[in-house]
Amino acid sequence: MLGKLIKYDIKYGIKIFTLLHVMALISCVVIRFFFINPIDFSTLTDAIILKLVFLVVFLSILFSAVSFGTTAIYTVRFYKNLFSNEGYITWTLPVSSAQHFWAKILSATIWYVLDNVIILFCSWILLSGNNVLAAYEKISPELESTLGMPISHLFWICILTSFFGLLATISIFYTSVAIGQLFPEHRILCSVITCFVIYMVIQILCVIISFKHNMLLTVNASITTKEYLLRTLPEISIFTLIFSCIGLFITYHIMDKKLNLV
Amino acid sequence: MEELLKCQGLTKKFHQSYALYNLDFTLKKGEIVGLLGPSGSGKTTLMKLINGLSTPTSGTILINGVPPSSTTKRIISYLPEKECINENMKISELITYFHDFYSDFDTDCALHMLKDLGIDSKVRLKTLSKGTKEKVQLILVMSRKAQLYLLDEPIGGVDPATRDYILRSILANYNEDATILISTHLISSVETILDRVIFLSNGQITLDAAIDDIRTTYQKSVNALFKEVFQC
Repeated sequence: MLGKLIKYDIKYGIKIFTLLHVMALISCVVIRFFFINPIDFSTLTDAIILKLVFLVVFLSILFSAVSFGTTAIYTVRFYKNLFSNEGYITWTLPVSSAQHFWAKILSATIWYVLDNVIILFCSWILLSGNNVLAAYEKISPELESTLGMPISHLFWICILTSFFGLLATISIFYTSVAIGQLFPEHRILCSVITCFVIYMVIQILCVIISFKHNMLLTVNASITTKEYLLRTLPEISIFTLIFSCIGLFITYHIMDKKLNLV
Repeated sequence: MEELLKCQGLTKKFHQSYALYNLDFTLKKGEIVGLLGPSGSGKTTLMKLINGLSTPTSGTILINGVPPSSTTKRIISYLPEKECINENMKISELITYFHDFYSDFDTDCALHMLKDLGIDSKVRLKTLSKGTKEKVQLILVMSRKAQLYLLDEPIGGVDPATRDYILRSILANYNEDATILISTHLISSVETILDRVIFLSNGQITLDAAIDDIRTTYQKSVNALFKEVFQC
């Protein structure tokens, strides 16, 4: 049954997901061949730097929008399939609440991983040109000195932290939707408020952790990125893991014991 | 007859008011029972509790001796009052969906009923009229060989010809060993097919009797008795 639930969850969002990511891929291919490839990094002018700045801003917005769209797919699916009128069909399937819970977690994981893989591929498209690689060769000693580690290590740290990001994202949105259901007259409003409150709590705790490691009040230019990450990342990761598990436990408890379809 | 559903002391409270209060009743196998009452009497709430779509404030529900769970959902076929299917799905996709999850779903029966009604299975639900969507929902529910059918207002909001078709479909497709609980306020349309009625008023049972007993005791039809009991 779990496999069937995941199958229908994936079927639900496949069209929008494909559309978003095909648009991102096409944009990256166009940018690579029409904007990045012609750039000669050895003779950078102000105009080229400005163009690069706009490109970075555009790509940041593009990748953020695509990731946000992916998050919206599985969050909306979670809400509509379980807590809207569709819930009358979903919750009368011969499936336990645990199976519904794990199906939603696993399908969100699939979406998240696919999204990240495609965005990584888009990044490779943008940065794999010979001119970019040659420019990186020139700056890599200085870059690695600032980072305190090879860029490949930073890449793997990002992959590891994205696992915690996955847990946190699913937990925040699913918990917000589930808590919103406890207030039948204002479900969506309460979900949004809950999401806002959870984000505020997370941000405050992250600031406290940064403050504790003296990372906040002074700009400490003498430490490398590696030192910064080693000081803050373990605590933030553990906190994220605990917080996410609590959120997911609350979500499961509401689905199992407090379901009240309107 | 063997007991299929048993509710004891069933209560559901919303804020300060009771949607259901201290309900005690049983359904036996093979019965067609009408759950009758005015709007707001608790019929839909009771159906939702039996299906596990809501949790009781107190009391118990047992279906074949088991509280509502994935086990009981295997033997219950539920037609909700509201439209609840994803309208972007095609009817053929819905049939596949039901076939995937319910081992007792009869695809051929569903396709046969769709053909009878002239409904193309390749169309999306959102292209259909309200009445046709309700017919599709009913077809999906009645195509299952369930032990307990819970039909919440299956004939409200449709034309009289469709109403007749729905009632004929219910009788034609249900297993005689199965139990049907129909909630409606259109009593005259369903009276002829019922074995027993339960009157629900303000969340409490005011009458639970066989059709024949009602006619013998009260010397009137169920419809007439209903009007008398629930007159404004």
